[in-house]
Amino acid sequence: VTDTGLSVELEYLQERTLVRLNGDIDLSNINDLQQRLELTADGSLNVVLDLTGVSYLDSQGLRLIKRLHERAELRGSVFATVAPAAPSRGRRSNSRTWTST
Amino acid sequence: MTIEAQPAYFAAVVDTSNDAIVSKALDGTITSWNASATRIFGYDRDEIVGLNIRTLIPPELQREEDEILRRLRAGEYIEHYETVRLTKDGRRIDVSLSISPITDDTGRVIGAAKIARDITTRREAEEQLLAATVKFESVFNQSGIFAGILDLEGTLREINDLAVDWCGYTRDEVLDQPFWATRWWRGSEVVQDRLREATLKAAQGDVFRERLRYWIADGSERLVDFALHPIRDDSGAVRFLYPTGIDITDRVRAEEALLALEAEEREIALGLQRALLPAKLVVPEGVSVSARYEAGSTALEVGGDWYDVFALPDGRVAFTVGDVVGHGLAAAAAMGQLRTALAALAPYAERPGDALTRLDDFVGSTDATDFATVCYGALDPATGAFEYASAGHPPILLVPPTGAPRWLAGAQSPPLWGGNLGDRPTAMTVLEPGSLLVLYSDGLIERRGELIEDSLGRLMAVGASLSDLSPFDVCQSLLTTFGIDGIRDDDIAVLAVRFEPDAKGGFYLTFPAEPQELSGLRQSMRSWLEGRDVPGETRDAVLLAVGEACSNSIEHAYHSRPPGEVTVRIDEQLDDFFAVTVRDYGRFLPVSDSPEDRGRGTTLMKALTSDFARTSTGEGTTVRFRLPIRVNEHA
Repeated sequence: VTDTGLSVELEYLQERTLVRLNGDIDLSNINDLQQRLELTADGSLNVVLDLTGVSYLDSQGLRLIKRLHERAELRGSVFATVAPAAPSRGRRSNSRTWTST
Repeated sequence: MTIEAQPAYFAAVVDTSNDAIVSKALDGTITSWNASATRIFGYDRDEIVGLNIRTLIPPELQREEDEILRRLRAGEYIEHYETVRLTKDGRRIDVSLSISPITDDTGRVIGAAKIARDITTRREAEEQLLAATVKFESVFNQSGIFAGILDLEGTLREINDLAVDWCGYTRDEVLDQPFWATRWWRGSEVVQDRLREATLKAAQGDVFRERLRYWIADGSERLVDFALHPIRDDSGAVRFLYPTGIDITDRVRAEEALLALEAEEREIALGLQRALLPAKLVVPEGVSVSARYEAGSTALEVGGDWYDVFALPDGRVAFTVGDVVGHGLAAAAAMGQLRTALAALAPYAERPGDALTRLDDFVGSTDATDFATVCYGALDPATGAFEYASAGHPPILLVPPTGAPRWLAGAQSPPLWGGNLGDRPTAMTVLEPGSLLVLYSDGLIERRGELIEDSLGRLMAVGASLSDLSPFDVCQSLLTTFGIDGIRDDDIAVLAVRFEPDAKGGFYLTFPAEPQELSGLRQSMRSWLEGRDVPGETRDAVLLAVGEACSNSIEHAYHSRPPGEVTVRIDEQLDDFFAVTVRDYGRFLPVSDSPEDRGRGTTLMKALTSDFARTSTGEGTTVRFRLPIRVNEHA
């Protein structure tokens, strides 16, 4: 748990690592989080990032997710995120969205 | 009632009188006896009180007393009755008697007060008067002053030619009358009373001098500078009175005409002044102002000071207070030119110092004035950012909501004189919500002969007491404390500004530009949004868009430690939008991140908001946008 209230839980499953984030992701913790997730991704074949418990995620967080995707792509592994549909304007869905490469 | 029953001061007068003053009962028993009675008749008070008044009356005149008593019982006065009396050592002396009945509360006559004057003494006085008259003769008839001689009763005994001839009177018309009853004073009972009083006092040794109205033979009223001097003999006793006067009618009328002219010019200048000052001060929400102008208290002390409040195109509100040297119509006119010029130049100047540089050029290119001081500040109501500059003007007083008042003493440059001094500086500070600014002209604080430090010290000393007052009350309080204490040389302009961004329930937060402050910001915004009927997705959009803007400021605005501040302001607008302003006070510099990353934050903000605008100047970056509160109505 960082000092801004973001917690990172890791669950090692067969062939993939589940990373569960709870709390806010912003400029104050993005660098720590990036290091941590890159470390995790480097040691895992496939990574699933569960953002269900994330209450705030800005462009910094998007940048990080994009970056993790790109790294996974380079290594030929899978990086997936799971999140409730963002209540952002114009797009609504009740289903969970899986993103994978 | 006896003389002894009178108040102490009366007794004192009786004792110091030159005349013998004696009171007696109706049977003739002497009941009081003053010092002069002892001197004139030779009897001590103790030996004579209780004896009969007939002791003093020669045998052949005893019948006089019967007649006196008869008249007293009838309530009559006896005045200046000249007769002969006996002294203790048997001498016969000539006396003049004045006898008044003494009555009790019911009006019944119970005794008499007798004043006896040794006529020999009066004759001596008359001789001296005559001698003195001769002595004054030259002054009397060879000078431009009115002069006369009064005896101690105030009767006019002599008068010089000027006083009668020039006024159209004859000697016979005025001589041997009580002076106050003479024809010079016939137009006013008030003047007559003053003179009667003055005569009494002069007889006791007091000098009287006053400007009096008097009347000449043709009935016209004139003014005399009048004096009444007691003239004493060698022993120091007042023997007669010497009235003098100089006609000052023409001089006074000329003075009055001049005063009327000055008053008229003052009225015109004051009217011009009022016409040239703004009638109404329009300010945006979150700012309240009040201003006052007071003319100086002396005739021509009007005209040079101004205050002004106007909006700048970028949403800021500008305040100016200035002081053109000089007074009267010319200063008022110059004031109007400078005030208008500054308001016209301000929108085209990036910063207040630049505006003053241009205003100095204006002063140099016109002949409106060649010396003025001015103070100019611009406040961003969204963020509290306050830029200011001063050209020789006393510093703005800042009274924060808590803590000690302080001067905004930065950005000082010389007064305006058309000298083309080059660029004038600007200073910047961020106002806490609830802060009060006081702009003023030096007439508020300056006192003749006082050091400016002491004057400023007095204003600073009352600063803290202003922190809870409305701008109107601040002006009122300052004028009461400093402005209205008697004669003022200078006019006064005061402008009070209160910055109260949350007065209408808007969101306002200033915080250090540090990443760990962001979660606190979100928490504050969440609790502010919870108090309103806002859909969840609007809430998230606000948090995200504001967060992006703040992250940019934290990352890019400040390049040294500790960093500066970021200000967030959110107002709910009537048309159901949130209007958001995020402001920092640093210099935008992209850091090592690729432009693409910054672009993403901006893209996100633009996608979430409308009317997005970002401006960066040397004084910081301001991001403004709007967010619809109800998505469905505005989508």
